[in-house]
Amino acid sequence: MFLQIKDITKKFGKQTALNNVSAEIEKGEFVCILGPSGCGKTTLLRTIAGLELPTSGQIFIDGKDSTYLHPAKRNFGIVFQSYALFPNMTIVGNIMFGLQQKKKSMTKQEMENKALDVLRMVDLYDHRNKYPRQLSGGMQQRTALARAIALSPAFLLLDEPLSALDAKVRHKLRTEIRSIQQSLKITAIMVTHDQEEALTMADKIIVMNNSVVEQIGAPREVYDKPVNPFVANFIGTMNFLQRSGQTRAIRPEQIEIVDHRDEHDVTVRIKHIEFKGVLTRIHAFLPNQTTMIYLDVPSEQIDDLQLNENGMLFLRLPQEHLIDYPQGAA
Amino acid sequence: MDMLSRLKRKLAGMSISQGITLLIFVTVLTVTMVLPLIQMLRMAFLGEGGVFVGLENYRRYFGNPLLARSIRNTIDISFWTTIISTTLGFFYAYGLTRSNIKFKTFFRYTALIPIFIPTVVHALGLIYLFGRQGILTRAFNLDIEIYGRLGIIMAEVIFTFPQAFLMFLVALKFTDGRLYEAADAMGIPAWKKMFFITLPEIKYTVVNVLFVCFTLAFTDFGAPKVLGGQFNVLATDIYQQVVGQFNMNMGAVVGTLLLVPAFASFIADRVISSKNAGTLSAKATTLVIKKSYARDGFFYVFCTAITASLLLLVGALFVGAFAYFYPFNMAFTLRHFDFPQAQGGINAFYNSLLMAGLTAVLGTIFVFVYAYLMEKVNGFGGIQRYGKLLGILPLAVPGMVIGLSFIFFFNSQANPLHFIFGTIIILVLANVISFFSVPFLTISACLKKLDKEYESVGDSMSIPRWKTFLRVSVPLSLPAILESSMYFFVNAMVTVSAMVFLVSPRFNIAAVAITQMEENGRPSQAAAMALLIFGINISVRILYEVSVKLIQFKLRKRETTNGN
Amino acid sequence: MKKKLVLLVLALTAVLMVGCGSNDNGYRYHITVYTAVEPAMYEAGLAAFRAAHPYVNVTSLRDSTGPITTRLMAEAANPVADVVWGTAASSMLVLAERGYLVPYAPAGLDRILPMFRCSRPVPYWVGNCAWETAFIINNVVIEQLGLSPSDIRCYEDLLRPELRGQVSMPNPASSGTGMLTVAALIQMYGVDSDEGWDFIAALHENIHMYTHSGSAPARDAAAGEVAVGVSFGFPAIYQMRQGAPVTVVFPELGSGWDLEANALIRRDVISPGAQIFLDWAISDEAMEIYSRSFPIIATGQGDYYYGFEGINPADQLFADLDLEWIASNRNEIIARWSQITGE
Repeated sequence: MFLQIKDITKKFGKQTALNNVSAEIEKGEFVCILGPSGCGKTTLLRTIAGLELPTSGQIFIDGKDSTYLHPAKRNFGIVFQSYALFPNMTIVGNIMFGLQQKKKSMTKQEMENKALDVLRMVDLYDHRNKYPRQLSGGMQQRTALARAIALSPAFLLLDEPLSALDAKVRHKLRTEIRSIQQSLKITAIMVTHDQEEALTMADKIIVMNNSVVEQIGAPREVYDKPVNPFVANFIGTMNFLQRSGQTRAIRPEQIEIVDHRDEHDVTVRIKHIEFKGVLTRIHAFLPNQTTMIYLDVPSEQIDDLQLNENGMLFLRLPQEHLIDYPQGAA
Repeated sequence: MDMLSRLKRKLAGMSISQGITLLIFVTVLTVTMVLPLIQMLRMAFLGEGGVFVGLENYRRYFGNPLLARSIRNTIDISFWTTIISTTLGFFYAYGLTRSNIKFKTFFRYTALIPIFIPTVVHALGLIYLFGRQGILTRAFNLDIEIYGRLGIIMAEVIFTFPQAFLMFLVALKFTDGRLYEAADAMGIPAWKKMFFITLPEIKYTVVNVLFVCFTLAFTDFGAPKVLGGQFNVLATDIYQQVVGQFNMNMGAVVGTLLLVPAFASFIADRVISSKNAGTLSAKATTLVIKKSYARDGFFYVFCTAITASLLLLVGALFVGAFAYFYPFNMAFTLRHFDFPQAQGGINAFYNSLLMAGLTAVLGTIFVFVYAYLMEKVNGFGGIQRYGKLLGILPLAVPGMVIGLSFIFFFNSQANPLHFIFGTIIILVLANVISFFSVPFLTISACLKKLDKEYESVGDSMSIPRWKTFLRVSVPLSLPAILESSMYFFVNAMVTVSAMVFLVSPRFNIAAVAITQMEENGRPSQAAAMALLIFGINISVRILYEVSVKLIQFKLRKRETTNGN
Repeated sequence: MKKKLVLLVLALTAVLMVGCGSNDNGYRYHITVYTAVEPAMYEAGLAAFRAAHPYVNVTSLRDSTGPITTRLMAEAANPVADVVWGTAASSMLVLAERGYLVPYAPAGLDRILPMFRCSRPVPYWVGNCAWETAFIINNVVIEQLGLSPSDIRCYEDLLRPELRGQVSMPNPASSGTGMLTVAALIQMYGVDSDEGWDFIAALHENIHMYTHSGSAPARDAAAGEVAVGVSFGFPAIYQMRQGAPVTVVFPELGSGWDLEANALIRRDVISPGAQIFLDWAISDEAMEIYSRSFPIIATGQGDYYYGFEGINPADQLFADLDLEWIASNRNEIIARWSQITGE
């Protein structure tokens, strides 16, 4: 175990930002801290970095109690949403600034080589002599990443690194960050509010809400077996049905459309058909006219189904995909 | 949580070296500003021989009809100055922002002329223009009684006009054009737009300008000193009580009275600035100024009239400085630039340069580090709140009061800092304190705009804070640093009110020398010295403008995508 | 970094202090002299003293009488000055009364006229020279008013209706000249009579401005702001020399006057350098320097002086002037004067 977060509580005055948070992170893992804004995820990251100090609890890095260790001694690299590049230094200057300090043992040539190496890694070698503001947002964020990894830190902290970028750039950079992380085999902890980002990038997701950890697990696990309705709803879409004293939940893409109604099947009235690209989402009412149910159908099948708004539909909810929660939980 | 871990947590949250630095800086400011003020307040309640007499001094002060009249006089001139300066400043700024007149740059810079010369010289210029032998008096056969109320009001208007103008300029420059577009779409007439859009938009600025003008006029020493005659005001009373009648305690009483409007203004400003934050949305569009010959014509006349008056004032100084004996012998001469040795000769000017230079350099360094400690260091909430308050407190302390309280405080034998009395150090210190707040606010605002994660990034790379400070915060704040240095320099060159109590045996300064020369019957030499100050201040201002342009040019080059 | 800054500031401060401090090379004594002597006297006097006593290092402060006196009083608990040189005798009386001075008989004291020194055998203070009230008349302005400069001879002439708003004189509350002018007038009319005060009330009608300094009326008259300034002699003559179209006269009934006097300041350690300075301050060499600016020197050996052709300036003085009376009635004089003039 590389990093252990143990019973961390952080209060700002009367406000509790982290409430008894615990988590464990293995060496080389890519961990996403996921949650809605204000859930405490950034505070948790800053606490791991030592930029904030917990009100109580402990943080162990490599088995050593590092709760009160100065950030500089924790040996991490950090990337912020705002890039935080020094605008008065060139791209290579930004990277050298840290190197000069940390690696007193390196010769100037070695430092330069190192800086140019990381710039090649993020594909910015050709732009090395430009100033940050001359580059696009994506390039600036890659610079920040290069700067963070140049010092060969033990772990990498990413604070919503992609939120300020356009969708296209964001998708591209996801892959890049992940591949760099894997090639360096470096532990990385990323804060994000984008569930898709977390699902695609992470080895492990820590889902947070209201200052507490709701669930920790691999992306599939969190998606397929959300421990509570919050997690279920926050990651992807979930249908909740009240059935015989229980709340049962099912993902829209796991609902099947059937021709003939079985005993366990349900009849619904189509409210709206929403084309979403590969999938088409159908919004429908249960017979009680108040509960809305969503189902996703591959768009190519839609024509064959001949659906109309206000038309009736029989749905099958496969038993193996149903998740049970205590009644009223949703 | 047990005590030990609580303590550990607390200590870990703060960097010891930063904490000590913070403590040192706050202590320095406390010792050099708060303690002298307290000492002055104490003096106001002491009688001869240092006996506590309660409110006796105040009773005596208000019991004396002549001194009490000074209060009425001071309020009177401050009131009229405020009305006139605010009006002129508003229209001048309005003309420069909301009309299509040409030469706006010229108009903007000429309006700043009064800032570059001591207030004594505004008064001196008025005498050269409107005195019984004044240039205008003789040319147009005028009969204006420049000595007394009218002259003081005129001089104070000259003094406060640039301040009012600058504040209005900032307020009027940033407006949301959409409001006016919407009003136009609804067919609302111009006068209604003025009353229902323009004025409400700048209402806080109006209140601020009113307070600032009132306070400046209320506490000014220079103009009443020269033009006062029968017309006494509080600032000249202090001087008379302390310097003429050796009555330190009465001087302290008057000093406390000078603090009243300044503090009211200070509190008003605080209340306003808390309400006035972020009124402009990012979507605001720039105002398109429509064509109007009538409006532009009016502002051409108005702005030209003001500009001409100010140029005339400087022109009068040239006449005074270069005429052999104005007005009886108008032959050209340079003899007035041979300054009397008793006032320090030309050395007074060099001393001023040295003092202003040191004030600019040391003041800016101190303020910058101070503001940095307030903005960028974490974990010292209480001290930092106190420190920030301390940083803006000098706004409420007139120069006269600083000078007086410095005498009381530093000139006491019990004070270990007594040795700085009579040296250039105390002059520089008084200047730094007097003019602390504006640079402090400028630099704080600038630091606030810097990404707060620079420090975090630096920490993560084990870069010591001082290095991040030097290599990142300082270069990125260069424009604010230059602006602050210039502000310190120009003000230190022209200020008289604090200095008049503090200049030392062998170290006279130009602005005080001007006051003395004027009083000793050497107005031409006073005018000559004023021109030197004016010249150097203009040069410094030009240097500043050029530097800022260069920096902006360099920054723009770094921001264009196809640089290199 | 911040530590370095602090060091830098400290270092700069140290450099400044050294820069402002004195050079100890070759000096045996260091003294500080406060003085209100006229600028010309100040330069020449200090230069002469330094030449005569190169081993005494003099730090000096020159200002008007008021500020110098204020400073001495303010610093009384912890004096900075060793010597006060050439400052009004009326101030000396106050300082002596408060115990801020040490009696000292400088070498050559016997040459000083009794009128010009403290009456104690070992005097608190000794005078250098006297200065006196003068009228400075602007020739151009007075003729515009239909008068000639020769029409203004005595105090009564200042009451002429043509001069309404054309006379400027110093305020006794803030100016030494103002005080001695008013006090001499009162004494001339008799301290127990109201006549002097009546005159001041009548004069008030013609006053344009009461100035805070004794030389400002000379300035105003020279600049043509007023026709007549009631000033003290020296600045009036100065303006004349500068090329102002003015006539300087001394009022016929007698001028109020005061002395420029020297004294030893009470401190824990009296520097021998201070005594050397006081001895020099009444030496013949010093008297010669005083006489270049002031016609009346304390040894009574007045010589020819510019602006005093054909008269002995010492004769112009109001001989019976009682400085002690001025010193002890200062506040009453100011109060009554204020009441009359509304100043």
